[in-house]
Amino acid sequence: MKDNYIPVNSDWPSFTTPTRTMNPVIKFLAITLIAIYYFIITDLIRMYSLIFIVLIYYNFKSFPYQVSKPKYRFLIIFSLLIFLVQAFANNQGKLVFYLIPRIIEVGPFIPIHENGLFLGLLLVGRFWGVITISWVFIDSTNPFDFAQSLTQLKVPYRLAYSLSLALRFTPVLNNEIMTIRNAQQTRGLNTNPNSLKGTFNLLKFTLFPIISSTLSRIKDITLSMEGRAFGLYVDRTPLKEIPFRISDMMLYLMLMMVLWLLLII
Amino acid sequence: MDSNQIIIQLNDVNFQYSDSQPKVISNMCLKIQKAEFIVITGKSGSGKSTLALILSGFIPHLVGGKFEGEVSYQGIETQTLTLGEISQLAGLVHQDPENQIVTSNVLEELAFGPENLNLSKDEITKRIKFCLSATNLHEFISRSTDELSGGEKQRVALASLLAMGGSVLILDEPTSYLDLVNRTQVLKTLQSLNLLQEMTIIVIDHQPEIYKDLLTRLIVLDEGRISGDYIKDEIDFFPYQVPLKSLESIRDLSAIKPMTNVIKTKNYNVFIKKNRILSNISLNLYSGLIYGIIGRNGSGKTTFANSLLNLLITKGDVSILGENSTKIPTYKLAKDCGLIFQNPNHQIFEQTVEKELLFAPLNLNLDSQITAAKVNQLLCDSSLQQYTNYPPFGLSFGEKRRLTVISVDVYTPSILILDEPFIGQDRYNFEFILKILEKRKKNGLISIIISHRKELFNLVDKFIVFDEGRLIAEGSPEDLVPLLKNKLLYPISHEVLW
Repeated sequence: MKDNYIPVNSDWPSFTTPTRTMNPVIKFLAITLIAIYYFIITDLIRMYSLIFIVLIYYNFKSFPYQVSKPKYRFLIIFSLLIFLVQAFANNQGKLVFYLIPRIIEVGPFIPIHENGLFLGLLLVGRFWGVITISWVFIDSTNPFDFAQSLTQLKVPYRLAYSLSLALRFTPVLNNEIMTIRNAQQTRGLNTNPNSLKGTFNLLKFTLFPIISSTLSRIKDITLSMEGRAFGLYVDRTPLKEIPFRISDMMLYLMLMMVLWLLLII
Repeated sequence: MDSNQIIIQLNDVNFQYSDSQPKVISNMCLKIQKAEFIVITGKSGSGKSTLALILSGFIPHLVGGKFEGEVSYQGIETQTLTLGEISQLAGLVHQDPENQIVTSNVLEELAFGPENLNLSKDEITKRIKFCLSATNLHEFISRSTDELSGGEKQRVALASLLAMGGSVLILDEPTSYLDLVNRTQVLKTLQSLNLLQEMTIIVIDHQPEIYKDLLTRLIVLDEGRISGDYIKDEIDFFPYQVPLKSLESIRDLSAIKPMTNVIKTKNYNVFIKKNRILSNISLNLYSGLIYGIIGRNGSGKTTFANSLLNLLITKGDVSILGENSTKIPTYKLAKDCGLIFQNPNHQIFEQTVEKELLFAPLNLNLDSQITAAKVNQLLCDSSLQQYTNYPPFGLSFGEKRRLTVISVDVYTPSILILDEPFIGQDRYNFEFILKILEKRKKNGLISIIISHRKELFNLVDKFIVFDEGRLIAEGSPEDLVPLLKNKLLYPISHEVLW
C-alpha cells in the first residue's frame, strides 16, 4: 500500500497546542523566565494568579497526561508543611493572632506573625509555580525534539540526549514505582500513604526494588543505544529538523515584556 | 562447512563475569554460516544470554568480565572493532522489547540507529523504507511507542536493528511475551528476512519447537559448553520441551469435593484511569481447580488479576470467599489471595533470601505458623538453600522467579494467581511451578494461571478466555478447541491435542 512511502517532516506526530508546537529550546527559555519571575516577585496576588492560569491551561483537554489526585495530595501536604514551618518559626513583623487563644495566662500560645504568614505563602507560591510550569514543559515536549533543537545550537549530542532521556523516562519510572507499591501490598504490606505506618513501609521497602529496577533499565537502554552506534561519531545526522520560528521568538519576547511589565507596574 | 560462507567464528572463547564466579562460557568454538537460522537452547544459567552478548559484541566491549579467546566477523576480529562498528554487522533484540525502545515514536526509533551512523538523509530514508516493508510496520509509523502492543514493540525493536544494515540478527526469547497472532507475525518476519534477505538469524529460546519450520540448525548449551549441535534433518526431538507426562498427572487429579465458590463476579467492570478495560465480567470460580486465563495481548488478563486484589478501580459485584472484596484493602486481601507478578524484580523487597521468604507471613501476622522446618523445606525444594543469607537481587531470573513463588506459597493462600510464570523459565523451573500447582490442587485450593504457553492446555481444568476486554468463553480446554482455533487465541496444534 505504501511501498513508495518516504518519511518527511510532516509525518512526525503533530501537536495541537501552542506549547506543543513551540520550539523546545525557546519553550525551555520561556519556562526558565517564568521560574525566575516567581523568584523575583513578592506580590502574592500576581504570583497565585499566574499559577492559577498555568494550572487551568495545564488541565486543558488537549493535554493527554493530567495530574492524578494522589500527586496533588502529596504536593498539598508538602506545601502545608512548608507553610507551617514558616508560620511557626518566623517571629518577625506584626503579631497577627495566637494559634492557642490566650484565655488563661499559661502558654504556649504559638504566636503567628505577619512575616511568617507572608513568607510561608511566598515559598509555597514559588514551589507551585515551578512545579506547574515544569508539568507544562514535560507534558508538551517530545524529549528527543528538545535534544535535537539543543544539538542544532551546537550542544554536544551526547549531552543533549542524556537530558532528553531523563525527561523520557520520568513517567516510566513513576509507573515502576506504582507497580512496586502494588506488589508490596499484594505481599501484605500496608503502603497506604495516608497512614504513618504505610508511609514508613513505603520508604523502607521501596528503595531496593527501585534501585534494582532503575539500574536494570539504565543497563538495557545503554545496551540498546550503544548497540545502535550511539556515540560512534562526533556528529549525527538528524532526519528531523526542529525549526526555530520567528513566531516562537516573538512569543518569547512578548512573554518577556509581559513579565517585565508585571514587575514594574 | 564452506569457509567462504562463514560469517561468525568463535575460537576457544571463555568468559566469566568476575574472578570469584565460575566460567559462564567455557572453551567455546562455533562457526556460523551466512543465512543460517540457528536456535540456541539450554537450561537456565547455561550461558545462552551471555553467548548472545558475545555474538553481538557487547562482551567484551560494554559488559565487564574476564574474556578470553577470539570472535571474528567475516574474518575480522571483533576486539579490533568498536561496538558501533559491530552494530553495523549484527544486532541483538532483547527479551523484553519494552526495555529496548529508546525514543517516543516509531519513526524516531527507526531513524535513531542510522542517524548515529551519520548517514545521508537519503540513505536514512531508504533504510527506514526497507525495514518498514520487511516488518510490515507502515501503519505504525507515526504512532507513539508507548501506545504499541507487546508484539508491535517487538517488531519495532526488530525493525530498528534492521535499519542498522547488519546481516546478522540475534534474538533473545523474541516470542515469550507474545500471543499467537503476534508470535506468528514475528516468525513470518524472521522467515522472510532469512529466506528473502539471506540474513543470518540466531534465536535464543527455551521453546525451540516454536521454530521447527524455520530453523536450519539447533544448538544446545550446557554449563557454558555446546552439548549438542544438530542440523535440521538430525532433529527428531526438542530438548527442554516440558514432558507431557508431568502435566498429565496434574490434569488427572480429580478435584476434592465439595467444591466451593471462591471467586464470584457479576457485571464486573475494571477501569485504568478513566478507560474501561474490562466490561461486564460474570464468573464463578471454584476451589480445587486450576484455571487458565488466556487471550491476546491487551485483552485484559493481567487487568483482571490485578483487579481481584483491588489494585484497580472497579464497578459491579465481586466477592472473594463470600466477602465483598472491594471493601477490603489489598494488603489484607493478600492473606487469602496471593498474586505473583510477571516480573520477579518487582516483588523482591528484603535483603536476604530467608527474610524475603518470611516477608509476607510477617506482614500478615502469620509468621507463628511458619516453622523453620517449612522454610528449610521450601528453600530445599526450590534449590535455593545455598542462598539463604544471600541478597535476593543477586539471584538469576529463574532463581528470583522460584523465590517469588515460594514467598507466596509459604503461607498457602486460598487463591494463587500466577501472571506469566513461565516466561524465561527452563524445564526445571517449569516443573517446579507444576509441583506447587499439583500440591495446591491436592489440597483443594484454587490456582489461576495467565499464560500464552501451549502446555496450559494439558494443565488447567478450565480456560477463561478474554478478548478485547470481554469474557468470551469459559470451559474445559477440550470444549473450547473450535473457538480457540477459529479466533487464533491460543497455540492449538495437533501435538497438544493428544
